[in-house]
Amino acid sequence: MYSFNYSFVDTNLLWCKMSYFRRNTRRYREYKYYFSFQKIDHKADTLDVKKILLQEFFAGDKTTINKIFVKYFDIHGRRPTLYLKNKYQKWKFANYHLTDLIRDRLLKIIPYCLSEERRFYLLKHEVFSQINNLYKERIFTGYSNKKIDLSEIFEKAEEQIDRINNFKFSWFVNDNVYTKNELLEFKLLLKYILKKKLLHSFDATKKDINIFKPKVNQFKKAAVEARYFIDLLNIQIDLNKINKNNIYFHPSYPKLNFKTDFVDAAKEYLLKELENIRFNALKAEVDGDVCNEDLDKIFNQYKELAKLDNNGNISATLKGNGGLLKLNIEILSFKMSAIATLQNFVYLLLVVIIPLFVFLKYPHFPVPIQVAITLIGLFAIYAYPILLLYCCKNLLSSVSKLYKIWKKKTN
Amino acid sequence: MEKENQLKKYNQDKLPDYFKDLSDEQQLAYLNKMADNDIEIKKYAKKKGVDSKIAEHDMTVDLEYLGQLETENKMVNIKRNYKTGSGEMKVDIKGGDKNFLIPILVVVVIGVIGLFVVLLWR
Repeated sequence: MYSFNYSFVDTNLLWCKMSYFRRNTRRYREYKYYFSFQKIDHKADTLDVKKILLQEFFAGDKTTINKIFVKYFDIHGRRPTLYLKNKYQKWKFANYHLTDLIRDRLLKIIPYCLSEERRFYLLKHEVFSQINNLYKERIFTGYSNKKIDLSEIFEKAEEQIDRINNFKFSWFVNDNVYTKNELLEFKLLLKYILKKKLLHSFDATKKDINIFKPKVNQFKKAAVEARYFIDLLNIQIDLNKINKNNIYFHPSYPKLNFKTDFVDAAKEYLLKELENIRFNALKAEVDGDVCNEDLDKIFNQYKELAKLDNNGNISATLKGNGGLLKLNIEILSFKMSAIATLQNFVYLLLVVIIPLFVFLKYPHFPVPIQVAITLIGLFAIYAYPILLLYCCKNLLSSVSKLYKIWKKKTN
Repeated sequence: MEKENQLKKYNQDKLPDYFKDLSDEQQLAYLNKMADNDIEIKKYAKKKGVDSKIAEHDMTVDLEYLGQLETENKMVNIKRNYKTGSGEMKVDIKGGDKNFLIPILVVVVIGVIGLFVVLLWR
């Protein structure tokens, strides 16, 4: 009788087979995501176009699905199409593994079978995933130390928008799924919308700066730090360094002329974006008004606290028309700073004097006390320098506050 | 009819250029969207106003408390967070009765130095 000799089993091969099985199980599970609309966040900036395309086959409208089957038949013949039809339901409900071969074949066909609206939608997302980093590049560096010109910042952003013409799109865009005119038309539309948004951001920022700058100047200059973060451009600027004169920005809009099949989808998209811009402008106006009132309240709070002669700090983050205002106001009182200096001086004295006093006054302790001191000393070797530094730091900061007050008074 | 009613609410100049090119259904959908957004803005403004009022009230209460401390022989470190309509504000105040603390501190400093000198002198 035949008996299996276990000593011949190659354990390495067994491990390889097991890991192959595990890897494939994981891959198989992942495919389930393709067939459900809920699993894909269609608003996400980085959208997986391949997943959407497969969804069009498994969850799209009947016309699209039929078109895909016809095209598949034309390219791959009768038997593969029959196989596709047989396995369709199983793939749809993720009961059967969709092989890479079929998946790639489908991905090559689906873009040509979509409705105009879906084609526009896909192009929009493909392009948006490309321009995700439009303003995130380091195009605004070097504004930390010099006088800031807002017009220059927005002109640089406009240059970035104009660079859209040079962007290369991925496989399904380059694979003649879209005609040159369609791509050009879409790029122009996108540039138009982005420039509208940029202009809105500029107007809002300008409005903010005209309101914030005089208000921030109401606080005593030496104690205030005000930074402004422009939402759209992801850039933070020092409010005191902004050059308030000659702020202007007039973007040049491209002429829109819809001639391709995208006309309806493009117009609908344009109107939707314009309405979004209008809505955001109204919202920004409300934010600006509320922020203006809040700044007055903060100023009153500051005045009252300064009257009480206390030391303190007010920090605020307020949303304005086009960005965030970050305020940091230091309230300095001569009396409180003097008290803090005295307090810190006492702490430092105690920290220095007690050990000195002990070692100078009692050099010879009884044995049990010596043991105790040795044990405490081991801890003190590490803790003492930190304590000493902490006391010195506190004393220095309180002295620096006193110096600031003195400097302000002499000015 | 519904479209005409909606159109009356908005100035024709404020509507986008491509509005006329849309179908009646699309125009109505667009106008309804505008109306919805306007309502949302009103709600948004109201909520912001309420938040600002609450923050203002909290600020006044804290100021009164700090004012009281001036005469109560106390030193305090107050940290407060206010949620205003347009964002948030943090206040960190070290204050209290200065007339009470200064003499004590001066006496303590002189005492500590004196004690040290006397002990070492012996």
